[in-house]
Amino acid sequence: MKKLLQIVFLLLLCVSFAMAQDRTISGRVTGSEDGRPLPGVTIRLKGAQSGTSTASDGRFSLKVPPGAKTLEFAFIGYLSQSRSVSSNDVINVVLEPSYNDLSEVQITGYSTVLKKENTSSIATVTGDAISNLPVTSFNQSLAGRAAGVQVNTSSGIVGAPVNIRIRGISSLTSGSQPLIVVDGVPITQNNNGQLYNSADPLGDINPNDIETLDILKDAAATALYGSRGAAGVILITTRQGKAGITKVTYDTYFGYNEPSKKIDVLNADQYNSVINQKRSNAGLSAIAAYGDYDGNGTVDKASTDWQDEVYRKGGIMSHEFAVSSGTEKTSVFASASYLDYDNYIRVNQARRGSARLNITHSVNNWFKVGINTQYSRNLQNGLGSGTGGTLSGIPYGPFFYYPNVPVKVNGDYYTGHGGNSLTLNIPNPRAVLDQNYDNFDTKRFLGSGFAEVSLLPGLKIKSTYGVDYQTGLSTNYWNNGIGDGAGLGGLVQEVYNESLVWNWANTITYNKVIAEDHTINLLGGAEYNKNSTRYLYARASGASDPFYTQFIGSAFTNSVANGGIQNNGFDSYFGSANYSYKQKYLATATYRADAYSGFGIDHRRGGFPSGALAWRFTQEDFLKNNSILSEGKLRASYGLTGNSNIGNYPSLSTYAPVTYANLGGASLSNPGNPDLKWEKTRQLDIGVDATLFEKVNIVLDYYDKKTNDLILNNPVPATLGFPSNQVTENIGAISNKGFEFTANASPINTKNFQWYINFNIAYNKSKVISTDANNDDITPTAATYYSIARPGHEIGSYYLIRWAGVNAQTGLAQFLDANGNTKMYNPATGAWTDPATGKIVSAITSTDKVLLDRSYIPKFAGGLTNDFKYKNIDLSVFLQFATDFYVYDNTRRALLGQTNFNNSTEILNSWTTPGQITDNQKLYYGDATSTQASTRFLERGDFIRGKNLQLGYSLPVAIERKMSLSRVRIYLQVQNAFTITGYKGTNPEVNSNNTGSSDADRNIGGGVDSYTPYLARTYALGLNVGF
Amino acid sequence: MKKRFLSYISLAAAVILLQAACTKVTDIQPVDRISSDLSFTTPDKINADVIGVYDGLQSPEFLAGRSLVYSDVLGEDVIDITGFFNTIFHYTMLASDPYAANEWTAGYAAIQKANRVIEGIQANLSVAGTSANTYIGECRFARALAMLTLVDHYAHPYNFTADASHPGIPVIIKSSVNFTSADLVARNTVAEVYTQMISDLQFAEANLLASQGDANVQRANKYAASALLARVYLYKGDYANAKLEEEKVIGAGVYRLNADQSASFGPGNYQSSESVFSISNNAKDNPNTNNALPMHYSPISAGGRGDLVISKTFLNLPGFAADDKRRKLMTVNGNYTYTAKYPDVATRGDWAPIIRYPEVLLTAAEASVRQTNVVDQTALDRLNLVRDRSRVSATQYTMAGFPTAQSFIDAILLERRIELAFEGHRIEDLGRNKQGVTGKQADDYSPITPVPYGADHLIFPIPQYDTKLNANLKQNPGY
Repeated sequence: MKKLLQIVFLLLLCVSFAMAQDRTISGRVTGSEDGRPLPGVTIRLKGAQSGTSTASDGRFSLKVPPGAKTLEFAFIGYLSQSRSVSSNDVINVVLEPSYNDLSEVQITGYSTVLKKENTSSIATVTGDAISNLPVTSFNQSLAGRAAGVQVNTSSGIVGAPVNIRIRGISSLTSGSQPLIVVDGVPITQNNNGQLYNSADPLGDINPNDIETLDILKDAAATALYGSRGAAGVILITTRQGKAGITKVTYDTYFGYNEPSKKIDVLNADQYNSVINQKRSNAGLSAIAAYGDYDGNGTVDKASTDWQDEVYRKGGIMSHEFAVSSGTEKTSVFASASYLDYDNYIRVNQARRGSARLNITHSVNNWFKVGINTQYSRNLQNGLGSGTGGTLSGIPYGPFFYYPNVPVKVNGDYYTGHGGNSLTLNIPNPRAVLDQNYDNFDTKRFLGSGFAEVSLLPGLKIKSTYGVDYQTGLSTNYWNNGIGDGAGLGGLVQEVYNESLVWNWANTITYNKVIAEDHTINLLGGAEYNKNSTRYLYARASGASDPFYTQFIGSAFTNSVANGGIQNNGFDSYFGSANYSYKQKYLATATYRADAYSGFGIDHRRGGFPSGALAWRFTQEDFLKNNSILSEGKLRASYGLTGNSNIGNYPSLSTYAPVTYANLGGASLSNPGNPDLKWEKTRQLDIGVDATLFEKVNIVLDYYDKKTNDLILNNPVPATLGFPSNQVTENIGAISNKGFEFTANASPINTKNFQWYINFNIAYNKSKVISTDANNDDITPTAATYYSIARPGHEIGSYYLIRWAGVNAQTGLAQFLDANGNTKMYNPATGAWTDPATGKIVSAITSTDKVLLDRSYIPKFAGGLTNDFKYKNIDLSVFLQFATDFYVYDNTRRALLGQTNFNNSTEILNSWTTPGQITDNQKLYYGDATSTQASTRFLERGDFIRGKNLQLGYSLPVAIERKMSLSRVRIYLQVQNAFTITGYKGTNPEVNSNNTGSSDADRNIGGGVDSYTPYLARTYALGLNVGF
Repeated sequence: MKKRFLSYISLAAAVILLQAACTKVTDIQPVDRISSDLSFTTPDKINADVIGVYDGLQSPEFLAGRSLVYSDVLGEDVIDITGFFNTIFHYTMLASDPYAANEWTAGYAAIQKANRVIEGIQANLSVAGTSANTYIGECRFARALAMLTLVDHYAHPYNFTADASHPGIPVIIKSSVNFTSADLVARNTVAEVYTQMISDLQFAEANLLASQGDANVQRANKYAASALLARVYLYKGDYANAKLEEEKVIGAGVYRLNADQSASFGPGNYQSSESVFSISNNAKDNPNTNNALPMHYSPISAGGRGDLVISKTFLNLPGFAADDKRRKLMTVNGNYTYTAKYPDVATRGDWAPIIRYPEVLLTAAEASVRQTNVVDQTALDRLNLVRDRSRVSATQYTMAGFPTAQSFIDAILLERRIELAFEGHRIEDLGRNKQGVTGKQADDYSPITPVPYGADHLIFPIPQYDTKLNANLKQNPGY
């Protein structure tokens, strides 16, 4: 009751001010860098709670009481200004851009905090940095943008999965992908029923709708997400309307893309000669020859570059139209976008249409409601030929197919083997690409609604209900004349997948300032989350007529259906407390208790606490107002998080249905483990945030992250007969330690010329501390692997036989055995000899593999952005880099194969004469041993990539005004412009194990280049218009 | 006051909201699988679990086709022209070879499925009722078949040492719920492996039904157990018992040869009168494009993968008449001849033949003569029964044509080679006769260096995956 009286008193006070003799001050606010009007600048009287803001033309007017002395002008991204109120009723203000971003607000999960008062390690990437880039999803644009966030786009195929790793790999055999939360709703990143082509679940989100991405890195930030926080959390906030400003923007770009690199393979003449030389060295007949392709009785010559045949210049275009508007009570943001991305690989295409509507409305002064919604449709034309390393896949087929046969003869695809006397299992790559299809159609609704009640000053109750509902329809067709479809008489397959995640979060927050110096923020909440997925699969083969390429049931003689259903759920309770003393000493504590349906009832709930302290030392008297250090904060945090990327029922022993032809049966699907409990990641973070000379912002962090009780799919001998040869257990530990450094500065900031630099670099070193009771190696689940996790070493250290070069005298391949002795292999006799003595020795076997202290995970990675602006011209150069890592190039190995598959031109330097120094042993048909996996194909991957170059021109303000526009900018950009690297393959950032593999393959067996399509290099011309 | 009232309403509402969504969200029982404690609680569930054991045998890496292929690729009657099985064909496998790893994994998966179901039934005998021993018999049949397949590929033949004391495979007849040091098993001797298989098959023979009704051939009956037991005895060199077992099958009178071999293969013929046991596949459940028998053995132009063709060594075998009707099950395509025993490229549903009646007849004949060292009329009749249905212009075998027992045995082995070609018998028939591989040909039919009996790479490596996790598991020499 006393409170209420206080409020009434305050309200009366306000009213009494308003009743005094006011005057109106008006004016216009512009930016110093280009003289453009700044909409949305907050203007208020010093000391007052409310004020006004500028409209889209930068103009404002504000009623002030007679005694008013100072007006404050504040705008995010600009230095605040104070102007004294004189007798003049007009105040025009020019704001200087600020590169001191500590004044920004950061989202910490269920609440927001001023960046300067934040106690945890959060990296913020603004929507501007990732909008209008010629890529299909925003996550691809995060590479190199934030320290400690490694982003790996695994291939150049549209929809290729993107791996995001925050501060290293957080698990060995469970998922390491961060949790992604869009406007408060955790979204699913699961497979959505794709068949042979992957789709990126984040590609459904229109990048231009994103206002900010806040990447939570340390435990103080992630512990509030408890069991889902160990791999980091990315919070996406979409754009909102602002009070008093109506802004309409139209953004477009169009251009084309092309493969950023090609692999040189043999042409027809070279092929004939190399293959026949292999045969003759092995005492076999010649098999490669030109043939009579058109059947006219004479031998024709053909030379086909299959890579050229399946690649093209792919056209891209994007349109985005957005309106944002607002009043004191209601703000609206609406957008519509369309992206059409034709990849450089024929057929491969993505089209996305999306619409967004965000509304916030204050019903009265204590009740606020809002919605954030997006609907999108994503149509993806994948490769019906197959991708990667499948026989007909791209680029496997184009690499290895006969170069000495034509694409078409008399208008029809050529499917024979020409004059070659041995057939290849590979179909004509162009024919299979053009005649098969594999399309994917996702429709996704992502939305949330909230209601917020302010009961008492500082006390808010908020309830947010969100859904992530998506359907995916895969349709696939294999033509009856080529490849796998031929034997089946044509095949159609469809998968319909539907998934629904609902999430209901209820929070109570209480903010209170006591005696001016003590600020307290309290948060309590409960959150419930349920995820349900079901799918239907159908397949039909044996088309009555090749006319039928769609799923028309009765047109096919054999059909089969399948389906499945999965559910899981969380219930969570959490709380946090922040305390700030004079904005100088800051403390935070958080706690979250999560229960997950997949655990046994006894171990279902886990508790995840964290604590953080920070000291803004520049607020101390002895440092206040010093000219060097304008802002400085030291912070430390420690906390616990978990990992719930562990499947639906990891602890429950189950039997699953199986079929034995027409008979239905059941079999053990999971041996189960009732003792399974949460995996726990403890993380210490010590960091400094500082601003020097009011221009240079620095963030420095040290972290030490240790995961215990790993939920490990512990490999067990196959003799136990467990599915996938593994049991899920809490064993082992890994650690990641590292430094992160981010700096941004504006070295030059004059009226006509501005230069802005953003640099970040992170160092991470992982270590496997222990595994099972015997500290056994943990291997990827694939039968063929090149790297392992061994206690005492980095995660993903390569484990290979060592190559010892080609013997110059004999031309034979040499390897080192486990003890370092050189052994030479003769494919003609199958014998191994000691090259020094000529004595027969035991064969090099897999026991001669050694662990190399070389991991696929870069130790250093980061990015450098340089933005220049001269008058109306802007130039942006964004470089991404990574060093200290290795790539295993299995593509290169296979392209040196001693079979009738085509080879890379590297094979042309094979040994021919004694004394010849070369890296390629003597040709010998059928010799698989000399090109076996070894360090011969392990290469350093260090690279610097010109990720994005952009040159823009903005129309002068005067001309814009005449056209009644607020902004017109034309720009030219090149994505993946260049890559400087010593790596010989297509892309040092490669990761063939991204697609369709197990988590163990992704975490331990990354860095393998196995038939990865190149990244696209994209050129685009764009236009931004606003009014 | 109104505002305060509303505040209380809101607060109450919020409290209710927080309460309403109780922990139900996390109380989710699976609908797509059954908790293991419930998996033997009804007769239907037990029947399903037994079918699950066959499903283990039907793995694409095992007896759905691949294991048969490996036995033939190791021999000289097929040529791998695409290099798909290069490491097996050329005996250049490494310990990390995926073929070896996958077959081993699939084999032990099947063995352990059998173990688990046997234990599950034994713990729920009241549920299984009178069928308990029949079900256990099926499991023990499956376990023996899996062990035989593995010991064939991962160990030298029984006769490699005088007492078969050379390393076989681990004999595992008890399942594990967890990985403990008890699972760090060593390899048993080949003799011990055979003892276990014989015990399993004797139990199966005693307890299985004479017919499995509609599921005959794809599920084992009593005679399948006898016939498999006969094969085990034959490989062991125990000819008296081999003959005894085959006589049980022949004497039952339930099997007879089809008029023509072509009536034993292809869609519609999988449960013919000469099919004793096969691993079934169909359009829905088959080893797919990279593992199915029809894919490996059919030319690319017919929609197959065209990996394996018939060697000229086989096509030109002395004694394999040019008009032998079994040549009808061969297709000439360009330079190469393909077997047509597995024609169902369209659905990849060809069943993998494990035991056909001709094998029963030929084993009975061979065992009889080997046991007595005298060619008897019954043995001759049985050989002729098999040979005559495909014979056109060649002369019929007579007693006079076999001056020695060995000459008869040679004729039997020739007949087995022709009759059972591409059904996964070749390398075992060579090994049990202490013969190496000769006459193997490259893709241009040029000769490949012969490999002597007992050579290291005639058998697979124990997968590196397992030897790494289990130090007790000793690797085969040469790997």
